Amino acid sequence: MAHGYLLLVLHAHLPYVRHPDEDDFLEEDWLFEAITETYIPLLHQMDELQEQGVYTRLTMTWTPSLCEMLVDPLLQKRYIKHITSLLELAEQEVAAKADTPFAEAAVTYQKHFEFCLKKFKEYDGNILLWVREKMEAGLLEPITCGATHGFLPLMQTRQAQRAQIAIACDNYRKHFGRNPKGIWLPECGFKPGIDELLAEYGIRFFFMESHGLYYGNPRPHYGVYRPTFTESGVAAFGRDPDSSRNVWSAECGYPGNAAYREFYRDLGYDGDYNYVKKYLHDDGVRRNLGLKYHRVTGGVDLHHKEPWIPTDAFGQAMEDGGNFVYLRGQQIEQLHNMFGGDPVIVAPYDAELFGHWWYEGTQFISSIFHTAMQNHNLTVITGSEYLERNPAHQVQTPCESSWGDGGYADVWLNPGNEWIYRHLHAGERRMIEAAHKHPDAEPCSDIERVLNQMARELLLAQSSDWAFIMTTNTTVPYAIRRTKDHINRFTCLYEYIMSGTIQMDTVEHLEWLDPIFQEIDYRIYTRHD
Amino acid sequence: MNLEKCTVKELRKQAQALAIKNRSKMRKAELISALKAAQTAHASDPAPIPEQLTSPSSRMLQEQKQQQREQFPNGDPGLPIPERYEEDILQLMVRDPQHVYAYWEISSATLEKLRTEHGPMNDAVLILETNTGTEMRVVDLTTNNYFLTVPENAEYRVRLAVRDKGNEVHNFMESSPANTPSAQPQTHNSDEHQWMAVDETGTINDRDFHELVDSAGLPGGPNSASLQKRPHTWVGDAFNLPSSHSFSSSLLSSASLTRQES
Repeated sequence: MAHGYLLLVLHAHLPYVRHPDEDDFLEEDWLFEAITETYIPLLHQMDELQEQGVYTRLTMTWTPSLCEMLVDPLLQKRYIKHITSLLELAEQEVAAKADTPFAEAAVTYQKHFEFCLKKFKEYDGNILLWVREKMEAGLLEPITCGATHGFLPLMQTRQAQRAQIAIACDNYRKHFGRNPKGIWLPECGFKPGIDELLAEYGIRFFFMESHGLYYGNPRPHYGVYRPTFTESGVAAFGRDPDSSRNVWSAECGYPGNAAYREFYRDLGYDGDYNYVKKYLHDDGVRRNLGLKYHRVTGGVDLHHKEPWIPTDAFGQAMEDGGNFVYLRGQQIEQLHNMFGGDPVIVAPYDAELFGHWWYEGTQFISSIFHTAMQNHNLTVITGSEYLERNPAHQVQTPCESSWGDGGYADVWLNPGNEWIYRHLHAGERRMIEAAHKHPDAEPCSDIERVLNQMARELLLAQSSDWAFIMTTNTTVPYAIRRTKDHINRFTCLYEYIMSGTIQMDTVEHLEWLDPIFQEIDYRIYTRHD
Repeated sequence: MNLEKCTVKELRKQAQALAIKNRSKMRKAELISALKAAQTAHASDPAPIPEQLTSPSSRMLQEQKQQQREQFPNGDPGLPIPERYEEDILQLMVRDPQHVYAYWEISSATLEKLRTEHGPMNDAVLILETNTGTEMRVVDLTTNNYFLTVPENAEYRVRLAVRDKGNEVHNFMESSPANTPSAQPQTHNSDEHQWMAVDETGTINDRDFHELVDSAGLPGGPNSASLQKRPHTWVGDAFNLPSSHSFSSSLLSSASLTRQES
């Protein structure tokens, strides 16, 4: 009987958003929503899988910027305030929706938020400890990403690319107590040569969009169904299009099922204004609160959506997880006939799809592992384990590519965002210049503090999220503001270094505003090939 | 906080945060009085200062933010960034197999030099070098970027040049090369396939393995007589075991026992 592997990858990332100077900042909600709707539910599913003895192997990116936010005491405190307030609303909703078709949903939310608060406190606000538990139990292999998710192919200098990787590896060691073996390149943005930097830091594997392998040189013998080794000995895993389509397709993807929760009907918009106002932000604008009562229903407009029934929806998720594994089994048979040998199906997804966008998605993930255990021609596996068992692969130079729309750099380089690059590249050159001016600053000296803070500001300006937001036209003013604020702060610090006159109170203030990567060492910008 | 124990520098920082006037001229005693007066005024303020605003300079920035909100009612547009870097830069970037993007800045010094050499001019030419020849685009000197459509899987450079009255082109900047990626699979050539095996299991490599063997003093091995000259830590530790140590003597190697006796 044919045999193959399923390498399931979840990419959990949020840009570093922390505003200590304002006590109610809208964009900090991204983190709170992800914790409530994705990270806690997913880790809970993993706890249950472990308790039930279900064989579970998940490869998961926890990006450095996300990790830094998860361990930040200010954001942890703000999360508790956020979830406590949501719980209060959910409790009122249980009463308000009793004896209506929405009753079960209301109770589901109340229990969910109560659970989040309880687990969050159990880990003293640091859910990375929970991630570590799952890692140590062997269920989860965390991998790293660029330090601030900078899009490496569009950087001007090798030093800047190296810094994103080196700082990420240091940060991973800080949070997980070991060296990272795998990396999720930001947006799967690859250009030949980046693999040499990965090898420099002991990274063994990374992931690419399908055409990264298909258009690589020479042609991949096994398509995307085995990784290839770059000349530097780092493995490139290519995404399987079929497993992506099953989930992402607008026409036939699982999340479109009529039973699932509809994202675009929310109490924040539907509820009586005076009732919900207390739970909105200071500006009083109606927003998503995360309490949604309708299901997809089918081809109807938003006003005709039917009530969401959680039991039915979770049941559908179990079924869809089973179907997903069945289809992968079929795929393995076909690939076996095509190539001979055991294929590996690489199925990466944004983590926030499961739970946040698709509420029942974490049950779907759980169902995959339950079903896979019964399926004898498919084994779930992590990136590292796969390479340990299968050490020999074809050598190839993969093609420059990304998993962004268009498959290359279009999303990050177009008339709407091209203006940022002259500033980011100047930042790279200036960072290298300033680091070389003081290659060996006295530890803890003012100069070292300025140079380290310069590095932080440059890294934060380089987050590919800002250029992405400018293209997708969501919170564009915020993205512009973040880019400009960090370039401004960087330039101010650069001028201190070049003039020799440092205003330490400003430096202290910037250290307080942007405290990411306390372990940072600017000297990474003095490294050469 | 005991203000008397603060340095003048620290007191001035606090005074700056509270926007106390003439603070740079004050001596320590005056700073302390002014700070105490300011703190008494705040103590009567019924609204508690939120924890996140206790950083002294954040108070100053909060005031700036308030001014900015009044100035920009549609939201914070971000802090000012340089309009120019006063460097000569011509950078070519790859967007996708069919598009490259060039941006540039011409320093004031270079612009001045060009004007002196070639007279006043309003435009320049951006020259795209391909492996089949060159193409030119006229660019206004005030614009500073261009998206170019090009074939895939090739190397490109761009140059900036001025054209003089005789239509002669004078290059003054050149970019580094950039390669557009492929938009299709490579042609199949079965001779080209190389394979590599990388051992991921974390077993020790050859060099370390032989070093261990050599220094282990194994019978017939190179260092069986010279162990005394190259002790390993664990053997060294054996010498320091107190006589009441609970380790059984079977854990001590015969080599260390030999050394103890000598």
